[in-house]
Amino acid sequence: MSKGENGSGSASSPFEELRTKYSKDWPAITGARLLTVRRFRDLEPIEELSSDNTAVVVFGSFARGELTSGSDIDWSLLIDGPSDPAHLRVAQEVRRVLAELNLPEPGTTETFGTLASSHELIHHIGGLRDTNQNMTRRILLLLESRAITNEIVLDRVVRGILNRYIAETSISWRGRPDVVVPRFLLNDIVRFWRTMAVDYAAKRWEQSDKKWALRNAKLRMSRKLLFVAGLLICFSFELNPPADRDDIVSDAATMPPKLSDFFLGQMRLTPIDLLSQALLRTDRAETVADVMDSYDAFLALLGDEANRQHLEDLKFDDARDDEIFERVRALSHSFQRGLTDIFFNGDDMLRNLVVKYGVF
Amino acid sequence: MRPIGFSTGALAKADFQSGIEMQRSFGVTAVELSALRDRELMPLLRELGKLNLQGFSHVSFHAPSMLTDLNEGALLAALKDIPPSWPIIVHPDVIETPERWRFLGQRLCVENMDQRKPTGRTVSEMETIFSELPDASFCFDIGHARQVDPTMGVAIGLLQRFRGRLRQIHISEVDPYGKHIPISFAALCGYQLVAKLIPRDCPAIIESTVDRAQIQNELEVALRVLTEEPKLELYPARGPARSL
Repeated sequence: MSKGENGSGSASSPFEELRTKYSKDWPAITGARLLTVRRFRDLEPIEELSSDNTAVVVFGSFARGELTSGSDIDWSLLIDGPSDPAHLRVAQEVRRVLAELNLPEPGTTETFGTLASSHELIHHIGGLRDTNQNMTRRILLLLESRAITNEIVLDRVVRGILNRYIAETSISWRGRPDVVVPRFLLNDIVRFWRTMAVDYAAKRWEQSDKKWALRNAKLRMSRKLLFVAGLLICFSFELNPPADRDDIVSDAATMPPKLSDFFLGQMRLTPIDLLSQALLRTDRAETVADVMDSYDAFLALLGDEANRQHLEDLKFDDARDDEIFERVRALSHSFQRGLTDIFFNGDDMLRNLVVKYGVF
Repeated sequence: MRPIGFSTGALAKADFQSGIEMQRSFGVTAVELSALRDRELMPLLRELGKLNLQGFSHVSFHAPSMLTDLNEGALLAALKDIPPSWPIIVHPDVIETPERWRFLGQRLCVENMDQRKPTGRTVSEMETIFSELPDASFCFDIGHARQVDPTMGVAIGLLQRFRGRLRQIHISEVDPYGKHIPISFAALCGYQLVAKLIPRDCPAIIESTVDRAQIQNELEVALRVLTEEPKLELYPARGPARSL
């Protein structure tokens, strides 16, 4: 989805509001957002590869507005229309342009760096055909994606996915629902988070020590943030109801597309902005510090090439006494403490929603 | 009673006379005179006074969708000759200098676009256009809106946001390449979701490209879209609804 110039979707983003309110700089987060904007301009040659019914979509730190100097670029050629053999050529050309721009290739799983069809993403939700790869692509498309070309195609696919989740959930709403939480979507976001955690262990097993510590650090921080963003989106209709809430829920037939439209708007915010929105609601300086200071320090750490390389090379057996890894662990504990505060101690409505929908 | 009929371009491309006559025997009450290519504009304008438009309670005029031979000034000068009661349907990307179009007031009827166009596709893009043309009216193209968003969220947004400006609708299915084709069952299901947001007296112009033998069927499908209640089994219930 589109994110604005500051990677946020608006000129004055919730992150900016939070920064102003607490007189904080969070230089690493701010720097990452600015770097993301600059690097997006570098991607302009890819716009020439634009064609009807396809979109070149980036994921990961690029889409979250959290780019650091060592970040790679996860991307897909999203196809939402008739298949054309030339699509493969377009994907090859995207890869060539990115290589010329000196942007590292995506990981080895082939989840990214290739073609992705909207059909599987929209129609194979759950069930045997919903592979790990398909679920990963789908949830990342919802939570951290940004179009380099044809944003309208990306939005169309996201609306299609959301509509499926919401239409399925709305079956359980008798008439006008009092509380709107897209439970089907929420379950899938929880599933995605748990799958990421399980896959982390699987990768350590299969790939031995390769990049183990970096993956661990991301799981503790940026992956967890993504999960938090997903939860906040699922609760957003209750936490930040739109002015036309009553109109949206008044008609069973039009409710799914209208709700999809609302949740699409929430997904235009970056995870940091969604988190900032929640922190502005909670309004506790200690929680803000726990969450944002630690995340800022985490990005600063990743932005240091020596630290990043150190984490990439670190062996599992050496981690216990490793100073940099210990710093990551300590940051993750502050982050976790702050998140627990947001969800369970600072905001009655959010706590009640988590207890009712997020646990059993 | 809603005036309904075909675009002459959908039935007979540049042959507007045939486009009018082909539909007359089907009891339609609306027609859109179409000059989608700018080379079609002058021949149509020259014949305007001689056209037999009896029986059509609603007539609209579709301006060229792309300027190749004409420039904006020449187009605007030509549009001055169109009878003042007819809305002039214009694609937003043809409007290069909005202030030059303001003299048309409500007669200027701006249409929402399909995915191929750079603007006019969504509520926010149309808002930008109407902010520069505050008196302009709105031609809602349901096929374009569905091509942009098959869930119909964009269509609902456009109809709710610009209801006060709505002057007529275009109806057809729009394929992935932007071609106007006959309305399929899948499109009909989507269209019925938003039909009740369209006032009952709002004129409807069918833009599906059909031949003479298909006119009656397409007219019936369009009427079904606009009059039947949506089928909620689009989202089929699995047994009785229960609270989770």
